[in-house]
Amino acid sequence: MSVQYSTVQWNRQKRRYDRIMLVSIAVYLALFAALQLAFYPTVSPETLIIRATGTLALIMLHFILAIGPLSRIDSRFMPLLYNRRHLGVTLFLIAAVHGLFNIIQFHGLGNEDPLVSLFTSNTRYGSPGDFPFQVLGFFALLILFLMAATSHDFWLKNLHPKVWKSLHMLVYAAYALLILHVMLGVVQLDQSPLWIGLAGLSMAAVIGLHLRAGRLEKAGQHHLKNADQAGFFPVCTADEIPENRAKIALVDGQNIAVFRYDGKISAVSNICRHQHGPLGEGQIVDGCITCPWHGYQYLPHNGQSPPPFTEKLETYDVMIRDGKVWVNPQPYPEGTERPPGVC
Amino acid sequence: MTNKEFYIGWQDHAPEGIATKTRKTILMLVGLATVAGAVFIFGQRQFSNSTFELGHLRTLEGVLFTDPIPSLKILAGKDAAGQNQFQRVLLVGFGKHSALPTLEAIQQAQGQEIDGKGVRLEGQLIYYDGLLAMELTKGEAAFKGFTDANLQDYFTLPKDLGSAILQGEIMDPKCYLGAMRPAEGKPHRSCAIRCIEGGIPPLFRSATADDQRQYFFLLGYDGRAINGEIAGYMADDILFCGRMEKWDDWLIVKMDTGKGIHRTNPWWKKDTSIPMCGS
Repeated sequence: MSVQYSTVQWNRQKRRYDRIMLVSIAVYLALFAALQLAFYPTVSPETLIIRATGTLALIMLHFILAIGPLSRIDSRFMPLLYNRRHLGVTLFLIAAVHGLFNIIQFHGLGNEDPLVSLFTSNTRYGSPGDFPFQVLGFFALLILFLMAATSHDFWLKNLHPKVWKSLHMLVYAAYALLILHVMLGVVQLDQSPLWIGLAGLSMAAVIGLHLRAGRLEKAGQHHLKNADQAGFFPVCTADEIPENRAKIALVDGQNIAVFRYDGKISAVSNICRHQHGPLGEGQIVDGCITCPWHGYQYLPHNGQSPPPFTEKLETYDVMIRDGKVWVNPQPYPEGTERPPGVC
Repeated sequence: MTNKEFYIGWQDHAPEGIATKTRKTILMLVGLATVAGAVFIFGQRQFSNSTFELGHLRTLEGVLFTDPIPSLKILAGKDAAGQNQFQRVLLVGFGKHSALPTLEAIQQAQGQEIDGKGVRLEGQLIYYDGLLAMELTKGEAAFKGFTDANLQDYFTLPKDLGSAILQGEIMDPKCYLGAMRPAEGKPHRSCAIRCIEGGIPPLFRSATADDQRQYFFLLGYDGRAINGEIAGYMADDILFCGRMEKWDDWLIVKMDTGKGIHRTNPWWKKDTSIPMCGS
């Protein structure tokens, strides 16, 4: 959480995250180069760089896409999610090295501008078997650039979290483009079933994790029905909400997290103001609702971040009737204090 | 959420259970990534042992010919009968360019014809499978002077080898002989098109089923360069009718573009358009 922008708000966990990430990348590149040179000594240095960075970028993208659903399936993966932004920016830098070497190698030093050549040298856009696959990689790199360039909280705030989130969902378009880039590029050289099998397996893993996480998310949500005359919907009994935890309730387009703490029940928007994290999957720590993604905090009775922070959530009316928790899905403006229900 | 421990990134320490799980996960992921990289490495095709002497300039002496293809004809030794043996060195420019602009600039600077003259040229050698090329890396400065070699000693007439239907792939010789590895097939198509459109003489590689390769420099039927006409066929397996000639240690094929260039169709398409030679 922050009250002002800084390049990176370093803390111990972020420093450890980055150190481990950079060491892992160095280990991969060193092992790749060593094996490549040991078993294929006639590889040219440019091809070695292109293949090492290309495979690493693809592996990293799979990893990045897997972190989200993994963290939902098992909260012990949360540390991998915490600094995913740095992983994303690093992925872009590695992919950019791959792209740059390719453009110089295949399109540079010729009679045409390299970027023009990228689109005009091979023009068989209508043929899957001959498709100019490098163009797909270029567009994927462009998306990764947009994501990396806007990964800072400055852009998150100024673009508005919804726009920012939509922009960053383009990672799935980048993934689709990259899979096509790799499949068309590699398969045009070598139709080995190994490549088709590997690509199929990795795609199945990413899709499977997302489906499983989606099912779990749905299972944790309660679609509310049968409002009373005052517009309150029954959620569950108070005992069904663990202490310092929440139930997630969906009704009338509202995504509500109903928290229990200190014998009280409060309801706030389930969507964190930072990166739209699922607050209802978080916990109350030191009296504050704490987002599981990046630890942003809010007071449960008014949805306000504790001073000096300024983030605010919509709040909702709650009441306890016969041991049952009822919530009115009509939101109050962000940061409006509402009296908690008493168990 | 399946675990009672709760991770907050801005706290100094992660809960013990989560920290242990994270350590194991990271080790597993690095291992998995390395295995994936290794599978990729061992699944690759072997690279050719072509050579580009990058950063190593050498000087060759011989007689310069700009026609039909820019080359330096050098003395390669003598045969058993004591006759001079010659080798042609393909001349190419820096990057993806023909050597001709460089040779024209040298001629301008020298103020006299250099075609057919004994010259000393400096550049980086590129070689593979019995073919040798030289990149005139430093442009005009590649010219290191005239020699007293005379044209008569180096001049030989080409031998006509007749016409044939040839099947194979058109390559850009600079990359194929060593500037790039790998330098063939569809992934290299864009680069090959750039090189051919840049004026580098196309090289046709015909291969038999048992990988017996033969190389032909490719010209039009009238001996002119046809780079613009064949650039769209790079990296394709093609069939065409041509007249073959032997120029010292080089084979040249003069493509009969009037009879068409035919892409060999994939197995699921029936090919009904095989060209006939001599008709």
